[in-house]
Amino acid sequence: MTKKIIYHCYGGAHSSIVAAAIHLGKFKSDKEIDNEELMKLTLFDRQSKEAHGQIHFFDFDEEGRQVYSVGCRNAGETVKKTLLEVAKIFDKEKDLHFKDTLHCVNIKMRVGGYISRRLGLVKLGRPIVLNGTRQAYPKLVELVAQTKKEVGP
Amino acid sequence: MNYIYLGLGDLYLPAVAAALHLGRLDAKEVPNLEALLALHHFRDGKKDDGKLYCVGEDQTKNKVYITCAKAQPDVVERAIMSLLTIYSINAREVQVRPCLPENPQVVTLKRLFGKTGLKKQQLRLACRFAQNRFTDLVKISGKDKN
Repeated sequence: MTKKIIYHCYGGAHSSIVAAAIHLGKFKSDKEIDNEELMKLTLFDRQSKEAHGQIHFFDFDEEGRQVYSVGCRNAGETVKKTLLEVAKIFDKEKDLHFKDTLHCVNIKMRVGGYISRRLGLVKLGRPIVLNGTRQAYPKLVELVAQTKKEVGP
Repeated sequence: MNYIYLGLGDLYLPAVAAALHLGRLDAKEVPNLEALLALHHFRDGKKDDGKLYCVGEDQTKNKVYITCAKAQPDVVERAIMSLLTIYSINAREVQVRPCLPENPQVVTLKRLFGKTGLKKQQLRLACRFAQNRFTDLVKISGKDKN
């Protein structure tokens, strides 16, 4: 059975997207990142609230595991528990792995994300969220490395 | 097929809807306090958040589950349907039926009663709440067509 790793955060527009991209080795360096690389990600700062709850498939990683992201608003734990229970109905819960990326999110990402996604003021919010994401990048790299270790091949 | 009755913050409404689905409650008559209190899982869902309880099988062998989400039931519903897609499971295999309060503040009030030790008042409010929403629950459970 193919393992499925699902990174989840509040809006599914920033930290979970970046974590999934790190997991798949989409960035040049694991020390720092630039705005251009971030904006190349299809979903980065582009999710709407209507898409919250929709699980997005990114790609297969080097071990053949499937990498996904999802925005769960403030119900990350509820979504995780419910999905594991639903997967259990079909006997598929063992290959599902959830990773919360919210604790890597800093204040700049929160404020910038709110302004850009919730208020729709993209020009104002996006530079703030980009700056915050660059700052949070090392933490996300660490989280992904830990996830890969936890999930195993 | 699997039916999932999804509540917000507690299992009161899903428990009633599931009982209607399974024919354990009469759809033509609003249940009284005793009938509601006798229902399995008719309770505050503090510890039940995200847990799925199988409450039985209907006449056509479809399994009926109840669950609740402490917040964002719409996100939970979308996530369930999305999960089916990633496993290539036919969306008809699971039907999520939200049983939500018209006013989410009622859920907060019920929780407040529970937290302050007013268990009796909490249950009374829950019963009244279920009775008020009974017509909608009949529709949600599909019993209005029978």
